Amino acid sequence: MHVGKSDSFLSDALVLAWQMLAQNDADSPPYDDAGEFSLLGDRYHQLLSLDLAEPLPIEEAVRHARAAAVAFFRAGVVRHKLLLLQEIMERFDAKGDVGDPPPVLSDRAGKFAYSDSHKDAAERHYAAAVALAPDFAEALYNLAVLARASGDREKALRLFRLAAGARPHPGAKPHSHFVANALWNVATLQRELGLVDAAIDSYMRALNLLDNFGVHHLELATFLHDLGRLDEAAMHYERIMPYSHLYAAEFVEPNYAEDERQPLDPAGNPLSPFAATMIQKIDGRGCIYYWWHLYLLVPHGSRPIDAATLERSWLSVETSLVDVPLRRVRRWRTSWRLRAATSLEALHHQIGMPGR
Amino acid sequence: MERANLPTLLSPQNLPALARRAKVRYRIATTATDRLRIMAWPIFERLSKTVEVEFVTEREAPDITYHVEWHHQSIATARAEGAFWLLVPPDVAWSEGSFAHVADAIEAGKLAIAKPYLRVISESCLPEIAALGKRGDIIPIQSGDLVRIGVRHMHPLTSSAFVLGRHGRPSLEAIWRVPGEGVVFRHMVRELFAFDPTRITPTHLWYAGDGCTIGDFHIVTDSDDMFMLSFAPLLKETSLYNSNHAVTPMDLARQSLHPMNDTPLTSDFARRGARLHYGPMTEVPWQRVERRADAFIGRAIVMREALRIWTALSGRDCSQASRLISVALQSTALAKRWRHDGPVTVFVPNDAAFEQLETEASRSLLAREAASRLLRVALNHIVPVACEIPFRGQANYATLGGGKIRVDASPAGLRLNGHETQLVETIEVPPNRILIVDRWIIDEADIPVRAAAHCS
Repeated sequence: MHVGKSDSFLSDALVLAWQMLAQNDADSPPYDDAGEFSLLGDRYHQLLSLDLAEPLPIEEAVRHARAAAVAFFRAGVVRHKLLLLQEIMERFDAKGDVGDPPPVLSDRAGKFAYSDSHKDAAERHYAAAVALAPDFAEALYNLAVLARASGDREKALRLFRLAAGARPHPGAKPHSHFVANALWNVATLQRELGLVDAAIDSYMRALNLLDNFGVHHLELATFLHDLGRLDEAAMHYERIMPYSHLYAAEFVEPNYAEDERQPLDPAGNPLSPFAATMIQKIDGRGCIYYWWHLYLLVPHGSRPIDAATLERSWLSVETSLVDVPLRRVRRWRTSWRLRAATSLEALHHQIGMPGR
Repeated sequence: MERANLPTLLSPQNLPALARRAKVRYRIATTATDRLRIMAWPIFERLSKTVEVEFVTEREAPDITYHVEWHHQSIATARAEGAFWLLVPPDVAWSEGSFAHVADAIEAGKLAIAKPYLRVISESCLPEIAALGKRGDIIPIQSGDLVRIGVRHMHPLTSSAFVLGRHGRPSLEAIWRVPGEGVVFRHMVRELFAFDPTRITPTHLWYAGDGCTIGDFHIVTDSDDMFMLSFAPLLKETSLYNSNHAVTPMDLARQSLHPMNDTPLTSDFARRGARLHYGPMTEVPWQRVERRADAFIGRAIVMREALRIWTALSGRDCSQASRLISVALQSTALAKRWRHDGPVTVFVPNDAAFEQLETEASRSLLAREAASRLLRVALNHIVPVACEIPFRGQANYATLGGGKIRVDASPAGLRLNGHETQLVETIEVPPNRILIVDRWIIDEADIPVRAAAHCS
C-alpha cells in the first residue's frame, strides 16, 4: 500500500489536533473570532511539541501545520457537500406525504449515519484548518459561506473579506474564480446590510476579475434597477441573457500538493474518506487509520476492523495520549462516527466500488 | 451492470420480449480484462442465451470521452446495417415491460423513442436493487415499484430540479411532486433512447437533430410505458449546484440554448410531460400539478424564443431594442403575459428609429415604475402569426399587447399604422420571423415620438 503522506509525525500531529478539537466539540464551537483561531493554533503547537522528542524548526512546523490544515479543510468540504445535498432533499421531502417513500438522503444520512449535523461538522473542520493556517483563504471562504447560510451576515462579511485578502491555495483551479467570488459575496452582504456605496464598490471590484456571475448576476442588475441606475442595470440584464455557469467556489477544491493528498491504495486510487482504513503500522504504538481525511492512531489495532474494536482503541488512545476525562456525550458521538464509518466501509466493499 | 442492469434488462418483458420480436445484438465496449470479468458473471450466461453478444475491446485504457465517441461509432455501424440503435447504459435499472413497449413503438412505425428516467444515489440504491435477487438471478421490477425506489433513493442531481427547491443546478428538467402518488417530470429536451439511424441524425448528445418531426417520435409520457433509474455517486458534480437558487423558467430557457443542448424540436419536446407514478393515479391532483407545470414550461418556452430573437438581433443596429428586450424579459411579467403558443412576428425598431423618440423617452421605459408600460410596448410589437413577406395590400394584425398594426403596402411604399416605414431586414428564427423597421409603430401614450418624426 502506498501512503501519500508517510510521515508518522504528521499522522500523530493530526490525531492530536483532532483530539484537541474534539474536546471543544461538546461545549461550544471551537472558534468564534480571530482570537480563538489563534488560541487553537497555539494549543495545536503545544500539543505538537509535547509529542516530539525534539522541537521542530519553525519552518518545518509551519509546513506540517499547513498540511494538517488541508486535511481538516478537506474533511470540512465533504461534510459541507453533504449539507448542501441534504438541504436540496429537505425541500423535496417536505412536499411529500405519508404515501411517499422518504428519500434516503434526508432519512438516513441526516438522522442516522451522522450524530452531529453536517453544518456543525463542516464548521468545526474549517475552523480547525484556519486555526492551523490562519491565512487559509479557502477555509475562510467556506466558513463565510456557512456563516451566511446561518444568517450571521456580519460574521460572514468579515470572513469573506479575510478570504478575499488572503492568498488562495497555489493549486487553486481557475474556474473557482476564488477572489472574484469572495468579493461578490462581500458586495452581496454589504447590499443586504444597507451599505449601498460599499456594495457598489465591491461589485465593481468583483466585476474587474470576472464579468459574469451566472444566475447570481441577476441580483446586481436588480439592485442597480432599484437604485434607478437604469443604464447600468440594463447593461447587466443584457450581459446575463446568454447561458453562463458559475461553479460553487466552496466546492471547487484546489489541486493539492503531493504532501496534502489522501493516501493511495495499491492501485494508486485515493482512499475513501468515508471508510476507516489502516494505512500504517507504528512499532510499539499501534496503527494509523485514515478516516474523514484524518489520521487516527489506534494502539494495537486488529484486522478486520470493526466498530467496537476501533471504538475501544479510539477511547484508549484518547485517554492515554491526552489524559483528559471523556464526557459521556463525546463518547456517544465518537461511537456513532465510528459506526457510520465502518458501515459505509462495509457498503463500499459490498457493492464492489473503489474507495471513491 | 451485473447487479442491476442485466438482472432487470433480462426480465421477461424486457430484452427477451424484444428478442422474440426482432433480431437483437448486444454490443459491449469494454477492456479486454473486463471482458473476461463480465463473461465470468453468472448473469452473462443468461444474456448470451437471450441475444447475440459482441464485445468491442479496442482500447485498453479508454478515457472518459470514449463512451460518447464509441456510441457514435456504434450508431454508424447500425446505420450501415439498417438496424435500430438503442442506448443501454451499464449503470441503470429498467422497469419490467420497457423493452416490450420499445418493440410496440417500432412496430407502430415510430422512428425514435425518448423516455424519462430518475437519477438515484448509487451507494444506497444499488444494494437495495441487488438484494431483490441472488447473484445471477433476473430481477423483474414493475414500473410503479421502480418509481417508488427512484423517489426513495432520489439523487440531489434530480431533486435540484424541484421547482420549489432551495438549491438548483443548470438544468434542462423541472419536477413537481404529486403527494403520495409520484412526480411530474418535464424536460426541455430528452436524449433519444432508441432510433432508426438511417432516418434520424442525432446531435452529439443523442438529442433529435434535423430532418424529422415530432410525430416521428414516441415520447414516453407515463412510467408504465418505459422507465429507468440511472445510478450516480452521491457526491457527483457537487460544484455544479447553484446555491440558494431554485430552477427557474429562464434557467431552462438559457440551458436549452447551450450549443450542446439546442435542437430544432426542443419546444415540441418541452410541451410533453411525463407522469412517474407508484400505482393508480387520482386524476384531479395530477391535473392540478400538470397545469402548474404547463404554466412554468410555457414561460420557459417563451423565454427561449425571446432569447433566440434577442440573439438574432446581435450586430444588426438594434442595440437599443435588444436592451429593452433583455430588461423586459427579466424584470417584467413578459413571459407570463405572453398568451400565445405558436409562431410570432416581431417588429423591431432599429437604432435609427430610436433617434425619432423624444430625449430620454426610451430610457424612461427602463424605470421600475414603467414596467407595465415597457411590457405593453414590447407586446404591442409582436403579432401572433408569421406574417407573409413581402406585404401586399392592406392587412390588420392584433398584437399580443391588445393593440393593432395596420399594414398598407403599395408600390409607393410601406405604411405601418399610417406612417411611412422602411422594412430594413427580415430575419427568420423558425418558426418566428423578425422584421427590422426604421420607426416606432405604437401608441404615443406609451412612448413619445418627436414631432419631426411625424412628417411622413
